[in-house]
Amino acid sequence: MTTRVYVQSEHFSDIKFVEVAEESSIAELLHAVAALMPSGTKASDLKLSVEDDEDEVACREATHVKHLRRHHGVRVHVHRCERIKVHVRFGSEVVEHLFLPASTIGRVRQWAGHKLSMAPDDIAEHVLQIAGTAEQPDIDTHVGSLAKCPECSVSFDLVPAHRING
Amino acid sequence: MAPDEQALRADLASARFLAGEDRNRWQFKALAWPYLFVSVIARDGRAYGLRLDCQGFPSSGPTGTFWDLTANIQLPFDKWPTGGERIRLSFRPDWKGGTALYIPCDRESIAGHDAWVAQYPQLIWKPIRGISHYLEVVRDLLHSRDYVCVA
Repeated sequence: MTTRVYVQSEHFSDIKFVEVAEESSIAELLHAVAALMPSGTKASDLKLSVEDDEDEVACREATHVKHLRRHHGVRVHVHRCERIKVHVRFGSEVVEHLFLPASTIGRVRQWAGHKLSMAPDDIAEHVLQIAGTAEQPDIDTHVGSLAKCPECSVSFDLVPAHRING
Repeated sequence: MAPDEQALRADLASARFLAGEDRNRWQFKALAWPYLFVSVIARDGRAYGLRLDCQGFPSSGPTGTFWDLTANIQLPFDKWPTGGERIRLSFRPDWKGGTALYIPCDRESIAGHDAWVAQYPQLIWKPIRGISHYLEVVRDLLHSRDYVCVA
């Protein structure tokens, strides 16, 4: 049986997918993922992380693609950095944390909201905006897609969600 | 097949669209060119049907409204999502007779709203993000605190 593996990376801006057999090994998956990379990318530099697998249990224990499956399928990230340093500014406060490249914007927003002592309802009414831009990545974007090696960091402002007036 | 239909069909097979489907953010229902029928899942699990006119895709954004996918008619206004300010400002039965959602990525609604480009740059239609952009904007509203869950 084939399974669709969604892949994000510092090497391309949009999500892609590969289809591999459930029984494929992680090495076989990496081989398939390497084919998505721009020419000249050194495959041996790439590290695989699994979406929102902050304790890295999945990555440590998985030997086959089927072990990477989560509630909403198999979603991975390939990046040269092991962790991404994330800064979130909210008013005069700044919080920071090291996230896996495969951590989603949704997860970072939740983390930042809790860290800033916001009520759960209030967190949902705010969005992360890349500092110095008007870009608000959607909640499923991996932070690794927004941070290149060797900087391995990204800064956000936590801003109110839009209200369309006028 | 016309280039706009061809482009939409390619977008519906893209990783971005399929990833949203696999997360149960939205579900493809049918394509009867130029109309795309799709449902978007709200915070309470309710699926709201949309009919999007995709003529000119992707250089022009879609335009559309809530749709009863079973009866194949515009969703009666009393069944539209309701709630607080964010919902009321965007899902307006009084706007163009309810035929277009009042959001900047809707091609009918952006017309005459030049200020939106500077006010809401993140909500302006971007061809590169495809149909998922429109669906993400609707989905965000249906997951906001202002959305009132159906009892």
